[in-house]
Amino acid sequence: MSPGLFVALEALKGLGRVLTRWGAWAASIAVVLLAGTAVIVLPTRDEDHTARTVFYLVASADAAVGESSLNRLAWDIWSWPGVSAVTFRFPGETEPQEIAQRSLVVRVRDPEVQRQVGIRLEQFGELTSIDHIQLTTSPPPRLPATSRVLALVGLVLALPLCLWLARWAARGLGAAWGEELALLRYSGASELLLRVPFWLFGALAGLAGAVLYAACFWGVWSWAQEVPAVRQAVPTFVTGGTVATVLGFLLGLALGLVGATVGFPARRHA
Amino acid sequence: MDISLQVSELRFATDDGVVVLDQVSFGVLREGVAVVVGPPSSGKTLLLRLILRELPSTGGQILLLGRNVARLSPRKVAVLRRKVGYLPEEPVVLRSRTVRGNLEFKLKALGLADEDAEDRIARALELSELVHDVERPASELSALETRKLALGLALVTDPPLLLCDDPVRNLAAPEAQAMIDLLMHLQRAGIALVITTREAHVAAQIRARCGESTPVVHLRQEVMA
Repeated sequence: MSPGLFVALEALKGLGRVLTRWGAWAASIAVVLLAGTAVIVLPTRDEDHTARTVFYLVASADAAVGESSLNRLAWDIWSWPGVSAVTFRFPGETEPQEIAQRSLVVRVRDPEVQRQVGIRLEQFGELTSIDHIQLTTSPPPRLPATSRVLALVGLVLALPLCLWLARWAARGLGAAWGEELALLRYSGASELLLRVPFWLFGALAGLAGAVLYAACFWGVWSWAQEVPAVRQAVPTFVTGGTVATVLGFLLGLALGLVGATVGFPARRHA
Repeated sequence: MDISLQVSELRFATDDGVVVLDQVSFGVLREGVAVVVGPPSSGKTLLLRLILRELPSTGGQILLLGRNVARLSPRKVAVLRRKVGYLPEEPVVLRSRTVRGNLEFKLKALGLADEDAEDRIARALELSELVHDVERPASELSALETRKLALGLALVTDPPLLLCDDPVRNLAAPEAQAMIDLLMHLQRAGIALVITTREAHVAAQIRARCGESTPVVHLRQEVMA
């Protein structure tokens, strides 16, 4: 067995004596990761929640009209002033209304344009009927941007707390393993060898924090799948779960190793 | 004539300019002894730490086992460091382990748990007079026995040179005498010794037993600003 592995395994036997500190550190890593995730998925700015009215004309085409003719007509209409878009609809479609036969859906800027475009469309013999439609829609409720600010504040508070807990936990391990540490130092063991148990301690805390984070993340994710309001409120949350988990483990490990490096009880020069 | 340690015109000053050691010179032959005497805070422990290159000196030269420690890379210092036994002022032992467990821990941690490990342990136990205490927990050892175990830990790597930092401190007179007898036994077994002490009579006794040629270095109490 290599000296590093031996020292690491021996040090881990002392983990039981600092389990509370280690657990608190792991939990703080999970909090940092959750706060970081919230900062990423929550909206960066407030969106306009006022209702919007959209104006359409649905022009049904005669069954005898060829595909190319209808296509030319659509391009022609799109060039008219005030027309925002022209799209095709086929029987059976339901947007913006039930479609019974091939149709052109013309979206226009405002009611006046809708009226003028309607008059012009009536002059085309290929079109059998023209319906004027006005749809008012309300955007789904989104979480306010202040929620992201709160998450950011949480992250800013959690990160130093995490480092402090890392120092506290590493000091605990240093105290629990103080005799071994002192003996190794007096024996001329390298600082690298002395740090090995602390890095292992930190890596385990980081991985435990990442597991805690992943459990929380996927728990909320599963719940969000069942609640449409949550999906609408935080649409970015429903994607990227796997990436978030992988990143969570990598960042958790990094936080654990950084914490162990920061918390390592350096030799005091008397 | 082999020289284990040669300290020449050693000087150490703190960052504040306080001179703690100045013009300290002495040598220790192979299987020889040197005694460093000084009151508390005179730099005895500091001298040993300078020898072990735990701190850089601010002047002078230290040749340890033929190597100038100031010119060695940290890696080479670590290698050299393992060839030197160190008995700290406060004995450091693993109280939750047995005497053997202590020695095995050190050998395994230093990657020396090879086929010679049992021989190393047996020799260390014999030299430190702990042969009959091998399975006793360190927590049950007396003050003298604990110091012997610390000595065994220092000797388990078969060092040719042993640095002893005030080995009789806080020991009652009979125990202190037993410790001095043990150190003299080590010297006769071929281990060079550097012994620091705050007791002038300890230095005198060691000199009397090892010969008038034994160097005794006196450190001064006051430091120079």
